[in-house]
Amino acid sequence: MKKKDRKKQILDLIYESLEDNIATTTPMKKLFTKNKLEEIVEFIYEVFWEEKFNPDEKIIAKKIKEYIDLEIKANSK
Amino acid sequence: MRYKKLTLENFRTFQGKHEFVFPDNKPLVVIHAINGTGKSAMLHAMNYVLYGEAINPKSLSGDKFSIKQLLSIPAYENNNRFFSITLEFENEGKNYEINRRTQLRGDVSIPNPEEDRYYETLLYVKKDGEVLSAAMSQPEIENLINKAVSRFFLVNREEIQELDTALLDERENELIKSEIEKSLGVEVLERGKNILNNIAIEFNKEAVKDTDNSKKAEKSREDYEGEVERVEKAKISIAELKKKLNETQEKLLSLEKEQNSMKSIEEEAAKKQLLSEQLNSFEKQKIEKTNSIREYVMKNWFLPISDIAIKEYENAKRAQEDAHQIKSKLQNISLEIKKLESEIKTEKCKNCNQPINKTQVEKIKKKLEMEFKSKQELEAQYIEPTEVFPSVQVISPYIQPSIDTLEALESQLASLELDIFTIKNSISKIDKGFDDSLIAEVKNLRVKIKQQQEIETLTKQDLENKEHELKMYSNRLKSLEKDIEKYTSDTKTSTKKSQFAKGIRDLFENAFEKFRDSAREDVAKLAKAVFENLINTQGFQIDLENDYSISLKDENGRNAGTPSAGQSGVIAISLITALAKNSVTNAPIIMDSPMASLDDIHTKKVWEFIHQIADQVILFVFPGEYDEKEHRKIIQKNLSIEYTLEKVGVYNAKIIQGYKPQLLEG
Repeated sequence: MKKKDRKKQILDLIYESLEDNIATTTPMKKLFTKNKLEEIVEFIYEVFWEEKFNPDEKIIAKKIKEYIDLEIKANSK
Repeated sequence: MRYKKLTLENFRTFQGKHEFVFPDNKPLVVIHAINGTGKSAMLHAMNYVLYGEAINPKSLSGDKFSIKQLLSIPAYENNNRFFSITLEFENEGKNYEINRRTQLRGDVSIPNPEEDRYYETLLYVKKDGEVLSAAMSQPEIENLINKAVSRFFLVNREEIQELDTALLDERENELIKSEIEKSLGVEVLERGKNILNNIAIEFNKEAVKDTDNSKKAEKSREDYEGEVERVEKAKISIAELKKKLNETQEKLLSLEKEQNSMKSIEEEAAKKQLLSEQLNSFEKQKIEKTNSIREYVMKNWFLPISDIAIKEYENAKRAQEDAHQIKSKLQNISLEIKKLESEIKTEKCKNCNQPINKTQVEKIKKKLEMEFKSKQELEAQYIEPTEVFPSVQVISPYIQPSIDTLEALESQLASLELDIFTIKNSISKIDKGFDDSLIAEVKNLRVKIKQQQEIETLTKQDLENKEHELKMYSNRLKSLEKDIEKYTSDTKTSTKKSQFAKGIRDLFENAFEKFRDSAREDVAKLAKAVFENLINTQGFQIDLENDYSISLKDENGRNAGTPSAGQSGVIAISLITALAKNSVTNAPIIMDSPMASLDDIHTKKVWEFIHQIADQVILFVFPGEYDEKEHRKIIQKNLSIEYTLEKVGVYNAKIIQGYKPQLLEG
């Protein structure tokens, strides 16, 4: 009985969701290429995964917010 | 993750230092023990070393053991009031060592300290030989085996027997369901989408705020237009002022040239001016000098001489009066003498014409004698009054110096008059050289130059002010340009961020929905498969509801009622196996008496299966769960190590490596 790689399974599901037709994801798909979006999603997911037992959500939110901020600013240049 | 060594010191039934070593060759560790030797103590030790607390399973309200309850009784009585637990393990190639030591505080001196407040607990965590900071130690542990999911990895006997019932209880179900979802990683996504939702809200707020920024950008644009107009006006003014300054400077240059050509006139005029000033000064000095002569004559000559003359006059007058008196007295004496001489001669009294005797004559002779004497004295006193006063001798001391001074002053006065004469001559010569109209022209020229110089200064000042204004307007223009760019760009960026965060949030939301269902299905499928593998009664199956509660079904899918104790045990093992296999935590599973409620057939099936539920499985079993003849050949292939706990006296136990049935006879 092999243990499932949950981390990868979840990430694959998020990638899969990128393919789904979700109205609110259209603007971000216009902003970034698929590869870049996967890279961003992976980074954000990695933070959530690493901090999954950290009770301080504010620190996690700050990290993600700063990252999004940087990516959008870089994209706007 | 694999546990490598667990060391207990003065913990519960383990007085002194005792250790379990877990080799990493095979998955199964079996620890044989009879009641009271420390089976449960092992789980409490694990809970204590990981989380600093051990729950008393017999307490209905979930109370924790007190420190006194965890401390070995003989150790306490021997004044060894501390216990220590050390767990060594390996996770993803890294070696960890956790040590939690609880000891009597240094400042406690009472004979039998029982309450927790008299003790302190110290935690040390080493990661690859490096000691972590106090702040990082507990979070590191929680990240490896989170307390919220610990019930699925440190499984006590009660858990196995009551898990299915607990899942049916509304309150407990809520807690266990949350723990299961945490264990499965569902919470990673759920928490992630909630955090992203908050971020999306924050970015949205920024975007709303930046709508204000777009208004600000509009306002900045209007200000920019106004500023451009001001800059243009300032530039025109500067050009005009520069032109005016040039003209003024040209005019000034021409006037200065003209002034140069009239320089000699100007010099002569200046000379005349100077001489006139000198003349004025000398004339003033002349008046002063004359006044000082007058003053000097009055003060040093006339007034003192006048005083002396008055005094001399008075003295002479007095002398005249004195002389006159003496003269009158002398006349009287002469008359008396004549009378007396006549009486002597006539021997008759002059007054009564009677004859006088010889005695009387003698008396008259004596009187005459006295009169002569008085006359002589008066004549000696008499001085003929003088006619000339004051005398030269008296006034000469005053005259001589006054004359010298006066002569000196007069000489200075004469010198001044000579200077005045010379200057007047010079002025007269200058006046003959040019007329006053030329001087007026020079003066006029000087006024014009001064006027032009003033105009030049004012124009320069105006120019400087205008240039400063232009600089200010230009700076504002630049600042407004930046504002417009910033506000415009901020508005675009914040909208992008808001849209992006919403997109990512919905992405995670979508993945969360999918994963929650898929993870539950995975658990349900595996739990069902394990249950079917372990259960001996054909046709029974289990169903996992959305809330993870489990129901027992018959072969037709109908509810089969409340499970028996044995069935509950199998259900728990099935669910724990399914959760462990699907969990994000990769920890070994420690189980206390998993087969306690099972019959022989189920026990055998569990022995056949149990090594598969995790990479490392540590089982505490009592003699009823293990039959050497039946189970040895089943477990041997997967057995890593075996221990037997030996009961020593009333309170103590010892760890003996290997299976020692003789120690389990009670």
